[in-house]
Amino acid sequence: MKTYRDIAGDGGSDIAGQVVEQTRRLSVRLSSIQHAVAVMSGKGGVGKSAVSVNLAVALAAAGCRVGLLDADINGPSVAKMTGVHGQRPTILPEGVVPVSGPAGLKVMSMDLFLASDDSPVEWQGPSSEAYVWRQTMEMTAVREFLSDTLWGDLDYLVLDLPPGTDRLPNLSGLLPKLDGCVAVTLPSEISQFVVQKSIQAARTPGVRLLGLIENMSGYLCPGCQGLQPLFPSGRVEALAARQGIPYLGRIPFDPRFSEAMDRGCPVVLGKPDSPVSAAFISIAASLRNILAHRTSPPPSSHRGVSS
Amino acid sequence: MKFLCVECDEGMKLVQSDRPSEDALSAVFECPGCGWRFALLTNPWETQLLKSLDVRVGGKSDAAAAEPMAALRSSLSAAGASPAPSGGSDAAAGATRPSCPFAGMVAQQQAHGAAAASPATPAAIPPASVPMRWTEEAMLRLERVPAFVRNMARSGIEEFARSQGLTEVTGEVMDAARQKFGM
Repeated sequence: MKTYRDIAGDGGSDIAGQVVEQTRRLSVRLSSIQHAVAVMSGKGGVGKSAVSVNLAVALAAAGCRVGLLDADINGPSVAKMTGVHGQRPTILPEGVVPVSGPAGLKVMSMDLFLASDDSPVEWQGPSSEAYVWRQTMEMTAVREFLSDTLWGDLDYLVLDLPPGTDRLPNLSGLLPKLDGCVAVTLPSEISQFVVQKSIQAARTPGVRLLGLIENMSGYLCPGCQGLQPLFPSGRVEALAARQGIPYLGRIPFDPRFSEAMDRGCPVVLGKPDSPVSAAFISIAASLRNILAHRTSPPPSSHRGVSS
Repeated sequence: MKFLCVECDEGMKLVQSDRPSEDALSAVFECPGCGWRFALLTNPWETQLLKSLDVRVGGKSDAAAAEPMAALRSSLSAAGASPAPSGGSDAAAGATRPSCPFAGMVAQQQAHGAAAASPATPAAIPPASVPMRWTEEAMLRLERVPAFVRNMARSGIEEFARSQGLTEVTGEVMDAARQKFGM
């Protein structure tokens, strides 16, 4: 009796061909993008999206052509942080035009497809045992965001990943081209405990680790502008050194920073002279250098705001 | 997945497939040797998995394959999805919003409720559990409806057909639905 491999094709559906076509479409779309960079942590609540937005804006403000994809399908926040929440992307036969954000940033997010502020992402389909298919649907949505958005020519596409240590390996399996990832962590032990798992998970599929960013490294006093410690210092640099990845810099916690995010006004543009902005601009410059020269700075080099 | 005719030791060929409805699809396979046929019927989870993978048994038409973000827009629940994602300006919206022949019907149905569009006597209305058949012509016309309203259009047309005591959607039924809703 014949086996599976003895029978050519699949009877007529050509499912494999349909998947190949999806991949081809993705490759064609991404061919006009110089560098695709994912921002990840694995841990929720560390400020990935705020870092993604301000990093992207800092790159755009430096004259680069930048796209920003909110790959957090269930908890999209990038549209609000970039001030484009409520806008609708234009749908053309050849693709979907991304919404134009600050500094010419091209933004795409699930948020742009939802009806109202309190609308969750709900898929049509059998509600019972939805775990069988829901994650597959989410990855299909990410693939369509990548392949069907009219990104045009970009220097950088920044992908803001949702929490979960499996997110980057899944994304790297989907993307024909991913230049690397940036990990974000808080200085807290529990945050680093999870983030180091994400770093290891990124290594398995061979994703290049471009660096580690320390968010909320200390409290920036609005009055005296002094940086007060929130956690014991030096831990994140030590983690970067242990993992052998560049330490890109530290972002202080500044209440004005989070207020600016709530208003949809990235701090890099709103307060370019602030220490937080300086940190993002420095980190963006380091990232550009790493990607341009494909060389890594010393693992524990000090960047960003000095404590 | 492949199917083998054990008698002939031949791979079965797909001869007919229905587009996925709300929760099921069917595909008929035939042995090229002896002509024996059987139908593959999927349960709701299997159907949804195919939709989630954005693949179709029977292959995709070129139009369906080319439509941007078709899986996303057709799979988002109508309750949470933006009704017509299109350009920010009126001009852009007018230029890009598809001229969907069923959008008005769907909107009207949502506004007035399905009951308003059901004039037939209750005894003549087939229950919703009876699957609605679609002719090839009707299915091709449905394929031309933009993906993000296709499911709603399909539901609306099937609801209309049921209200007329029908169990099959034909091109004539679609014309009648359009006329009914003033399209």
